[in-house]
Amino acid sequence: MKILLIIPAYNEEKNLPSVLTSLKQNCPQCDILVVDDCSNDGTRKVCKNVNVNVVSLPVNLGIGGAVQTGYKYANYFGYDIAIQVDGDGQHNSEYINELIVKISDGVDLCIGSRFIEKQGFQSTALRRVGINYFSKLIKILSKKLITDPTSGFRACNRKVIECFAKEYPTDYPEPETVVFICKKDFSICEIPVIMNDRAEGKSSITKIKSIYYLIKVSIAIIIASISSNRGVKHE
Amino acid sequence: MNNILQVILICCSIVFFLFIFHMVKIRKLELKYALTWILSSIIFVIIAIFPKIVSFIAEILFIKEPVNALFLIIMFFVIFIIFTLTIALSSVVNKCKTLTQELGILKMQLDNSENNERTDCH
Repeated sequence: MKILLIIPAYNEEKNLPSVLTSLKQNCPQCDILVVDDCSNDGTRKVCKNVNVNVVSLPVNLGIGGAVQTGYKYANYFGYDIAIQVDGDGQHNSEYINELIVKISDGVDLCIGSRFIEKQGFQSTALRRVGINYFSKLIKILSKKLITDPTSGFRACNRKVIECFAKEYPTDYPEPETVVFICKKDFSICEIPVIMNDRAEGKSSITKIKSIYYLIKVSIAIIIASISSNRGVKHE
Repeated sequence: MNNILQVILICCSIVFFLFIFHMVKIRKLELKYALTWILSSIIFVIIAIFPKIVSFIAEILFIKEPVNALFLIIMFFVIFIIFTLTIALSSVVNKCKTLTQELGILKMQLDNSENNERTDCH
């Protein structure tokens, strides 16, 4: 079984080396692909040093575009499982094998959630309110309880890879894709994980952006829950 | 409608129409996106020549001043054009995104095959 780890990275030269070493240790059976979203630091060099495949995008696409590049790559090269891991060290590579087991058991998309056992880094109170709100909204619209819809720590199988390669939201994609996947009648599950606080650098979502984030993602979720049956017809 | 306003409108709308036509001819404007401009400029010319149309529209919509009806018509076209622009922009953004992604993957493959060749030579 071919497994790909997709790591979107934007200016993560400080965090990446430790992330890559721990990934190589914990999952030697997986291929690693770093998607360098037009960083202006040594992100690409760091990956080359440890001999990891890196796709360097010529212009900055944002997180959605970068992650989709990974899914397109997985689609082209026939990977059976694609796992998304953040490049900032928030995601613990010990849980990757659990994600793989879940996908092998036949689940289409498996999300690592930090709110099932409520351990480790829980994010700030304000963000938890936001995440909780998205969780409730998704519960109402697609009748699935997803405790951590904003988590970027997720694994999916071949069917979902093909879907994501074709269609993936541009910015702040995570909650929207959850609804999208529910609508397409794929199965979703969550496993409890412990996340770390990021070691270096800042989160991409600042205070002013968070208002935009809230509004944009809410609308995106509502639209996705109403209309995303159009893709099914093509299959 | 005021006579001076009518003369200005006739001149402007004709010049405007000719200008757009010229831009399409020298291929500075893509005809596909210029269509909305051509359509609206033709209608502006017609309105400028027959201002009765505006009075008529004002009457059936219960607008007191015909000039306000004119503004309404112009506003309608402006919104229409801006909207088609947004559609065009969205499609360009999508195409650009796809190209960037494919280019990134392609560059990686090229890099890898070059590296392989180099190690083969040594």
